Amino acid sequence: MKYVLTFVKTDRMIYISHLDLMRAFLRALRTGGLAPSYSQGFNPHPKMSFALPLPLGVHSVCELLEFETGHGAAVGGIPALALPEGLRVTGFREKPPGYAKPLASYVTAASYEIMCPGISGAPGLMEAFFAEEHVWVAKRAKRGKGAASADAPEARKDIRPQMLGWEEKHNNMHGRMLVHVTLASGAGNVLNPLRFFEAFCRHAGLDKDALCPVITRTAILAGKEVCDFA
Amino acid sequence: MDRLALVEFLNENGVPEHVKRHCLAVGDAAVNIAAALTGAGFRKADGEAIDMEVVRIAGYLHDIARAQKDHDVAGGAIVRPLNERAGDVVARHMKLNFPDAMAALTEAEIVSLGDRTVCEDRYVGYEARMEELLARYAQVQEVVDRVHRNMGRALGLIAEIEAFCGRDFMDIAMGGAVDVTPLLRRVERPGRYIGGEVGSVKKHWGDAAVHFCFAFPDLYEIGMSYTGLQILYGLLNQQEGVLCERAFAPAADMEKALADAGAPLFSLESGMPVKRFDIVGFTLQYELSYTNVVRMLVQAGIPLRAEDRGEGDPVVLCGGPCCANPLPMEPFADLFCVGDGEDAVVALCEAYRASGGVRGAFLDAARGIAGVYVPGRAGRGGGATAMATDAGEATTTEGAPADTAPAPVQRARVEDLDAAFFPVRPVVPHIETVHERAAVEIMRGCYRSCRFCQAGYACADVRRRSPGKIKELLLAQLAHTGYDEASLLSLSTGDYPGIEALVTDLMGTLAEMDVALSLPSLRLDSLKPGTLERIAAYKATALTFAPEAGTQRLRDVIGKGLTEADLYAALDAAMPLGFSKFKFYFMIGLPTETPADLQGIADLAQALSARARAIAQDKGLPPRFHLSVSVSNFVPKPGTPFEREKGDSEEALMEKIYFLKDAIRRVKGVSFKYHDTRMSRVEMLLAKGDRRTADAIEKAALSGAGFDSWREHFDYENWLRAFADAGLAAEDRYAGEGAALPWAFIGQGKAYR
Repeated sequence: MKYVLTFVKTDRMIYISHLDLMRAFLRALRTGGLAPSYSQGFNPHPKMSFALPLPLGVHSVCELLEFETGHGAAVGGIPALALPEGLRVTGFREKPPGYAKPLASYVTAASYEIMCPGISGAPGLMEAFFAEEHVWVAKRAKRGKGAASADAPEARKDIRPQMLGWEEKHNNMHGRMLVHVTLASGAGNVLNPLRFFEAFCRHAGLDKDALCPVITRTAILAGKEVCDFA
Repeated sequence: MDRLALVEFLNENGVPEHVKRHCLAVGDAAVNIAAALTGAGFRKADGEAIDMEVVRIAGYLHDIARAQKDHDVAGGAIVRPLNERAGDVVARHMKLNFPDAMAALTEAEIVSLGDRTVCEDRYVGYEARMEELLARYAQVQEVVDRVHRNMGRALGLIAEIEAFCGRDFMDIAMGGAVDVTPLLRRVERPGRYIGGEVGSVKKHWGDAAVHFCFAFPDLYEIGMSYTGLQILYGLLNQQEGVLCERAFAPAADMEKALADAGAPLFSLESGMPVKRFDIVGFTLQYELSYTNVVRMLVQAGIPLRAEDRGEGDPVVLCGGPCCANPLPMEPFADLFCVGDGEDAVVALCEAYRASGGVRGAFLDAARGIAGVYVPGRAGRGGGATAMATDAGEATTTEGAPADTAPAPVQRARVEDLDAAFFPVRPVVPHIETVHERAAVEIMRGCYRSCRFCQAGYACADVRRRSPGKIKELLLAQLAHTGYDEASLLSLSTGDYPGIEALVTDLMGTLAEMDVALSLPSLRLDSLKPGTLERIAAYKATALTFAPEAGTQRLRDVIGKGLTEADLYAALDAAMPLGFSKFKFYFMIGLPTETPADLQGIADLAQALSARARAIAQDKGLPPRFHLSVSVSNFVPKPGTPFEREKGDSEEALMEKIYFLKDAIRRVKGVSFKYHDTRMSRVEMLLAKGDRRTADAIEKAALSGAGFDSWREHFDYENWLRAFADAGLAAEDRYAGEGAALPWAFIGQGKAYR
């Protein structure tokens, strides 16, 4: 049987990588009597996956973990799992029948709250950023042979199509930016919020290294729908 | 109610995650401010001391009703049944006006000061927090007015408190902790530095009478695989009034980030500077970590040499197997713990508490504890029997004082493993480590007496844990951690009397739980065929053998009871069961070794390979077996019968490796691995060093040495320079029959001298 677990990743746990998080949940599910099933074959692996990997350093209040187990029926309510400080399960239910494929394949976008002290006039800056027709960023540097030079056209990429929308969350006073952005997050079409913020800073002429943004993923979206499985 | 009980209360009341974190941060800040004020002698206007219980309850629960309208009043109603006055504080916390002067401070203002300086879960200071509040409540004129009305008075109060306590307010509110958050995003593998793992223990700093920092002189992922850390950490935190936290050697990038930020080495649990602990305990697992101890002391800002430390500095303790010769580290340590650490560290914490933290009184008391060596003070039993002198000091021409050796120090010893503490909630590392598994120590000591083995000679005899206790501990660990692998630990697991019954029983239970059992330190020669079959049914992969020497003559010299026939028999038994990888460990540079012994290694590899091929053919097995020969360099260790041996020079070891490389290359199906000879050479010099060796260690560490057991960091030239700069020849001065051994005052485990 397939299940979906919703959880919060915050505090210092934002510094735990995707793979380490996978291992943490594999252990945690075992402590809660929900040991995941394993795939068959020469190199069996646990049948569990996250709907959308979270970049290192980003908080989230809406993470989704799906997994298969033979022991889920016995659990009522939210299972008690041994998790580190900063990871907390907020929901647990059977995977709805409408989703035959892995959750990751339904995800198209994600919303983030970006809170950053020290940026004054943020709404105008963000508006101007989104007014651009193209936002070119350097592609991730390839190492070794085949690495294109930074000026070559194939070394840069337009992320503007992946910037889906933004809104001001509160009025911004005292140089404290608080906005909500929605970024493409589908298969092969993911805009990392940290890269978005970097590009924003470059566009606004801000020194990103001097800023300490707190970025929180607030929703995982499948088309117009929020995947929260509440 | 303590912090944990209050966290539980917040959970029971369904307080959302981010509110809970805010409550905890504010509670911590309020408790810290109250403790600092009280510590500095503050009394309220009514002459009473600040009521810590009220501060604690009100601080940790102040936003318990944040989801409700008028959350202050609603929260007060929830809290009042627990504590009347704390309830009043909570009910007033949003509308409080600060007094003009510190003299009028009460618990309510202290909680509010915590709340007004913590934004979400981080201390940000008063101004930044007010800015945030104004941004959020810009439309609510009442809030804006109150902020402006109070601003001047609050800043005045903070300045007054700073002057009264003689500390910066941030330092007061954070209880002195280091804020490493801004550094984490700049380093590799930040998971090494964040703490908060499953199984980690966070006590409130102010509640503890003794603050013990377990310092591991290597990276997090190395230290977290060390069972000794898990034992002592769990044991110390089980003691009332004792707080034990961990610190590891930061990797180069974090070391630099800390230095750039002017921040000291910190503990993982509370982020407290290591320098603020009462006792800092380093474990000396291998000599090549000595430079990391020096670097960590420097990073912590603790005076490097014991003689330069005074009241207010932590007491530096060293323990672990390398204490068989404490001399090279003696100038850096205030005291050593030799032998089993469990009883000794608990007794040390007791003694610390009893001494009221006065250095001299504590060190005097400590020398009465079994296994504790306090340099410069008579050991247990008092009578200073003059033994060997430090030859280096006695013969030095620079006029260094000839120092008589201390009185004998007996190794500490845990008699009954069943009664001894062993963790059932080990700390589960955040990032991938060498060993990720539940692990129970099944025996301490070794039935064998391999003459080169320091660990084997460290214990006079073997103490066993009973099968029932082993199973109980293992299952409890698995339940708490969720590991999918379990392991039995000892120096020679196959020698555990009744190992077959134990393994059979465990495997049955573990298989049902989908947990794999791994058996390190398993000597094939000690295994009954039945056990091997059971392991094979589980996971038939690599098997390891340690003949150590290439000829029977040399194996007899080193006390290794393994014969060639044993190896063949093991191959015969293992191959049909599906094992296809075999590792063979040898040592070069052993006492009495001749070229024939080296040739013997190559011959044995050849013979084993031929045997394996024959078995495969005979039994119709696929010819997919692989043999590997790993050669390490013999390092004579204090505390073993070979302690007077002079180890090979770097050149001699290299020559032997070239010879073997060449000889084994010709053997089909066998690969050859060897160990860095330069590292082994430095290991020898440190293992058999004396007090003057400390000068070389210090010079090496201060000129860049660290993580010496990591090939990419090891710098041999730097070490040679360090020895030269310390005025020491890079050679072993304690070799040969007549040599007086300066470490001989450290008690033997198995007797041999």
